[in-house]
Amino acid sequence: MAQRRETNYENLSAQFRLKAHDYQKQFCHLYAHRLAEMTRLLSPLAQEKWGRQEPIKKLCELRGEQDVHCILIGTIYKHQAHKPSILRDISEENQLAPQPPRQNYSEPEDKVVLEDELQRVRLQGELLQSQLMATGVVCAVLGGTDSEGFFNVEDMLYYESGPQKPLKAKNSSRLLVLVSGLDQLQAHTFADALNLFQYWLAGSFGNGKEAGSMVRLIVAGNSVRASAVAHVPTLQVARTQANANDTVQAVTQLDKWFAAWARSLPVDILPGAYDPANFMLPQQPFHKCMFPEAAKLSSFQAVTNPYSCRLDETLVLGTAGQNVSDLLRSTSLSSALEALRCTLKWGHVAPTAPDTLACYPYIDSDPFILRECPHVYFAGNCDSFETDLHESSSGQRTRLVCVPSFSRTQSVAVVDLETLACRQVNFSVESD
Amino acid sequence: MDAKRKFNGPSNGQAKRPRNPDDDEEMDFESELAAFENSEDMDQTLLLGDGPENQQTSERWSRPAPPKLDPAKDSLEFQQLDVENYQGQPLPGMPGAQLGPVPVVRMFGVTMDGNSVCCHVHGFCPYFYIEAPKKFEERHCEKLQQALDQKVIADIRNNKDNVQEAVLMVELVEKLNIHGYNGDKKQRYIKISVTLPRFVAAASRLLKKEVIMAEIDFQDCRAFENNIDFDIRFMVDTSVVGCNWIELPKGEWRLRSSHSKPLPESRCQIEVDVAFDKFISHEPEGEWAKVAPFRILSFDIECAGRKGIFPEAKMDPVIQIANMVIRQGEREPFIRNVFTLDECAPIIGSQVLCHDKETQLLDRWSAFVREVDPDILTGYNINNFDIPYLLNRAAHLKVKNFEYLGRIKNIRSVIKEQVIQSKQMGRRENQYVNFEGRVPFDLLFVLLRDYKLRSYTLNAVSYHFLQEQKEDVHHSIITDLQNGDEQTRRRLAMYCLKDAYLPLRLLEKLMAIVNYMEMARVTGVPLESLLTRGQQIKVMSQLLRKARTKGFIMPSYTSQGSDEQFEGATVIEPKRGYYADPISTLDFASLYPSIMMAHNLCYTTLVLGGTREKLREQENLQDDQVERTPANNYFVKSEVRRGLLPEILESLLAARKRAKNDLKVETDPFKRKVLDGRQLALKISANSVYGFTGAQVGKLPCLEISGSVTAYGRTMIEMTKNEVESHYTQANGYESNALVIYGDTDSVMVNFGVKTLERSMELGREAAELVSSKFVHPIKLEFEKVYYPYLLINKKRYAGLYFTRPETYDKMDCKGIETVRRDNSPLVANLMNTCLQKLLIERDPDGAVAYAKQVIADLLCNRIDISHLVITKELAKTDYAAKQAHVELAAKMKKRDPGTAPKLGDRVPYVICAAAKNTPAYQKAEDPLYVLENSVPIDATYYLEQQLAKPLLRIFEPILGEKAESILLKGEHTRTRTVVTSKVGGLAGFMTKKTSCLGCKSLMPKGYEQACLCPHCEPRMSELYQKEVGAKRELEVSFSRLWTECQRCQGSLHEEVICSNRDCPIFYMRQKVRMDLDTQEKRVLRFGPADW
Repeated sequence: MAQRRETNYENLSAQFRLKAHDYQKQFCHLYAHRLAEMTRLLSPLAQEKWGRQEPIKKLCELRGEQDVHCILIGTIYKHQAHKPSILRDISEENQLAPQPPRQNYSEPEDKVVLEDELQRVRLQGELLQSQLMATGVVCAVLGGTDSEGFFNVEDMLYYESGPQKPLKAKNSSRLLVLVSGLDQLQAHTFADALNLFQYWLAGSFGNGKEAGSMVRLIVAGNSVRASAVAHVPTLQVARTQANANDTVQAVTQLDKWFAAWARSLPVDILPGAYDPANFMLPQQPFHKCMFPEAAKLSSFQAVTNPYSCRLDETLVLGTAGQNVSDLLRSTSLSSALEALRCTLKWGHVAPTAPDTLACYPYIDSDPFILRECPHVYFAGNCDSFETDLHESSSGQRTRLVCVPSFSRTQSVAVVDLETLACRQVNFSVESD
Repeated sequence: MDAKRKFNGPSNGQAKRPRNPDDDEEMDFESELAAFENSEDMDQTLLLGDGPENQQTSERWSRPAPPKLDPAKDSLEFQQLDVENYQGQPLPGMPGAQLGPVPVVRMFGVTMDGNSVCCHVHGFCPYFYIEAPKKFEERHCEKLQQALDQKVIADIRNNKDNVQEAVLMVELVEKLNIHGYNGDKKQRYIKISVTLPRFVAAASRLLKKEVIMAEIDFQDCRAFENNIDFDIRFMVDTSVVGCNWIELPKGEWRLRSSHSKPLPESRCQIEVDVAFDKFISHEPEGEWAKVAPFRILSFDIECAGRKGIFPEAKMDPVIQIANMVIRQGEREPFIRNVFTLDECAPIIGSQVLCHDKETQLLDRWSAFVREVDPDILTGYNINNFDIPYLLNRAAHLKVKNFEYLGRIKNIRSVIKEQVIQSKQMGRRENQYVNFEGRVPFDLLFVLLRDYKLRSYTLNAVSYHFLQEQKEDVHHSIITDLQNGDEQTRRRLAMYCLKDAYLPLRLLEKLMAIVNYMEMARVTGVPLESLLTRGQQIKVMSQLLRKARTKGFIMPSYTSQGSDEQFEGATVIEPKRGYYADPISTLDFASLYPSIMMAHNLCYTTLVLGGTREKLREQENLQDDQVERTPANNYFVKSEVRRGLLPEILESLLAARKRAKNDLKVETDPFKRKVLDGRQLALKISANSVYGFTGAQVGKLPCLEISGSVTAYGRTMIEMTKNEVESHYTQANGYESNALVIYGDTDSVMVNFGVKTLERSMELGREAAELVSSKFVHPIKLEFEKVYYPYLLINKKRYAGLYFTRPETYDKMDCKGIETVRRDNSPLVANLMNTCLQKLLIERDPDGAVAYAKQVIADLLCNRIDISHLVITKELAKTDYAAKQAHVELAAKMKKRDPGTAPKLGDRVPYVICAAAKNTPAYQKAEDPLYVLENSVPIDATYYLEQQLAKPLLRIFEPILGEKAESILLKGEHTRTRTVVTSKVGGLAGFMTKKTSCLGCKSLMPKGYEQACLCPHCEPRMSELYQKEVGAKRELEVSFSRLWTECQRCQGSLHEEVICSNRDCPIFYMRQKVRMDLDTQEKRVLRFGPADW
């Protein structure tokens, strides 16, 4: 057993824990709150960028006049013809030959609308890049109205997340291990790789020094299941759960893995899109009763998704990847890394929630706003490992990590908490 | 081919709409007279007034300025949209009567440049014919004219118009009676021309009842063509057809201006006078098939009602009117505005016109209509709601000049009641408002006429055709929005604008205006009559046109309303079953029209009963010149005389062929629409000719024709069956013996016993040719499609996968299977649909059975979404003779909350709930929302036995046979039932809830009251927890998808969803999921918080 370095750990995910549940509420409150807070954050930035002579206006102040030049702050709504719609799904007329869900429904014809508290306006302009835009993003736009009722965008501004604490040099390598998509239901196909991973964690490969510097393991979702359950058409309100017995076994198996790993280093486990957990973001931690073995160890904990913690000074924030995969469906962004980068630029972890990404109907807060800029920002369950050190317009640096799905790639990501260096470690048996 | 199914009463498309009393609806004569009297009186007193001048306030609103015209040098061309007549004074220099009041025809239309035209046509006189008595000779004409003239004038009750001349002319003419073949020798008829249309009826009545000339008796002389509308008479005689182009050649017309005599009377930009024989009426072909850029105004009003009461014009203000104006052929409306009461925040892309006072709002809107000068008015249910409400409201508030909405300056728009009594619909009241020169084109009427839908609310219709839901603001909220601030009124305005916009989009999508215009052109009737009248006037118009050119005249027929039946179309007894092999279908193309053409069936070729001998002697009519029909009637062959109806049909079908050919090569999308509309109009018209001859309450029914047509149809089906079965045999070298498994009206289903689609199509084509060759031209059997597989349930009930080419199927075709009936719950339609899909597309009968069982089990276990169980009925009146579920429920709801209870005219959705044994069904209905909120148990047995059982057994019996019932309705899956405990009624108040184990549902033992699981289940905690979380997860998926959908649909992210559209399929779901999620959350929470 390798000797682990000590780090100060602080769980910052309290904002993602739901204290009460009220499903009588609608989603408008979440949008309203997001817009209010972002407006507060964006207004000074906009004034700074475009100068004080440009007025910030509400749409209702435009009074339908033409040629008004101003700044607007509002929520983007992207009108997309092929956006998944429950109405279309249950439409009688379309019962014949049901459309398979589209992998991507972004189209050049998509219309981008800016909505403030009261009204909407269509945006146009080259800068807009509507195909890369997503519903739910709050931004400031500079431009003017025209006779057709469009607002011509000349420049745009996003919040780009809050301030960032500087990292102090410690001169000792401390590594964070990120893994996702353990997909226990399919684990028989990569059992060897999983064993190798365990040996590697324990430093049994002659990698004792490296293992000694691993300070934490984060399991970023889809540990039990990594793909959706096939949908059977019925007339029921909500489908009854398919036989849960297979997942029960998988969970028991996972419990054993986690217990083993947690004996060598602290393990945090996030629920993922297809795991036996709740569905809406933020997903709540798995219940203790699911992992009786691992739960006995203080080094093991189930956490929320999204999850945020501080390791010494380094602020780590990440998700099991739903925010990124939803963006990849609704935009023409080219890669998971670009999608992840966009959420950072937009200053919001999951802008498409609640529109196409399920999310709790908050009434007085939006926990997904990036109020502090993370040092490590990850998304789980990506097709492949991708990473970049992103620098914001104000010079804040964030390590972006697309954590590969283990079931697909048999690999994990390792991040140095001080230098923010990041690499992939592969455990596939063939390539070894 | 809807028309051919009808033998009694009105045909299908005509059943549900308001109609003029003189059409094919049955109406008692008294009310017919009453209606007539009524409108005559109104013409004089209520209609005339002193209308305001047009105002010009906006370039955008007004029409482009008209060009300077000189009648001596310029010709004028316009497309007419409306033809009507009025009583005017003769204009010197024009033909016709020169004394006293004369009828003047008024045509309204638009030029290609978009200028509106009003054209007065002078000199056309009404006339009719009577048989000439033997003694009557040329010299009697003048005497008869004078005698009849005096009688008619004396007959006028109070001659306030000072009529001095009634009968203009009496001529002796030679014509042929259209009814019955009597050789080519013309008979003598007296043509009587009168000065005013109403004297036609008077003169023919007096001729029948009174002694006019002492020496000659006219009382037994049959009258001809005295029951034809003056407008139609005019159009027939001048070759004007609906919506065609009229050209006034230079030098032949007069322009009215501010110093002309007479002065302009209309609000049109160009007003002219012309003689009835001086204008050119262009056939709508070639260049003249074009369409002028006429203006369509779509509007919608909002009223601030009081809680629980449907808005009444005397009490409740009009608060908003939204308007959209589009030019025909353009994509987007060029005027979008909303007139509001009180301040309203601006709407980008639409003009918001705020008003402090309601009188001002109404006054400005009326001026707006006059300024925009629309040719067509549309909207949703404007005829029966918006327009009458506005007129009544304006009258109540005494808004000056509001009611001058038509194009004639001094004529008010006035509401008239039309009462229609029909067998199918019962008594229906409709309102009609005159807008001289503007055509009211209510989208609701179009839909009621042309489409059979589950529901006709604008929500349901736009979902059906545009796959879009519409946010529905409950009328109890409208007043709150109005009383809020400028933003809440803006929200209301957005809603109102959408309601004005949707009709335009639907008209466009359904191509309604183009199709109706083509129909008007093809059949020759005015556009408006297509919506307000039945099929008969169309055939009548064509028949009159044809008859006129050949010297035939039509006898007047008084409906006897006899109930004489004749045999309908044949059905070959179906060999029921599920056919997994391809079934070829052979169809007769336009069967009834081609029978009429092939066998020369017409009024003019009919040998009337008992006249055969006479004709043989007098006309030398040989037996081989006469054809005996299978119905035992005789018609002369076409070499003796070509019938008029076959000629009409020929030209209709030839025109259709031309249109279809043009359609193939045309690339311009708008012209394609016109052509497609035309070919459709031609097809419908061809089919309605048969219906005309069979309509016993019609203008000229002739059962010899319609009976013969169906008789021929029957023999042809039989013959086809015999031909196919005798030719396609193993003895003749084919794979197997062909079998006709079913045949109906105009199609025959053949099982050639082959396994591949290709082969079945090949044989189908071959057989169609073989059989066609045995029939008289133009009867043609066509191979159209193969059903593969095919489920034959019964007569007129079948389903199959429809192939026209071997590669892929075109659609799933279902006939007569419960899918659209309105008194069924959607559960039935959806279940049938999925089962059929599984049977036919997936070819998985076991899967279909399993699915049906699953749904039944879900129903019994209360897992079906309530929206599938909702039955909807309109609350038409409250005093039904028998107790009705929806009426009882409406009364119950009124007791609970008068504010939101359904009112007369509303549609009441309900579900059937469980109740004590022997509770009558009408007491078991309950409001779906109430059911959801109080967990009232559904009567699953009712849904299973009354709704699902029959249709399910029908489709599964061919597959499962006798056992179907025991398998589907009595199997294992029906044993488990979930009993919901209601929160209301009965014993609910006495029950206390004890906690039970989430695992085994047993009551918790002592000491475990706070736990989630009993000691026995505790080891399975992880499993049971996952099960509960899994259930919650599914509910969360639904919750998110449902509520975000509503957020999107309402077009705003930051505002709360307030929609109460009960037609929306997710309305109840989203309510239910909230409650279920709350319940499920509590179950999950019993496991304790996920703290670490």
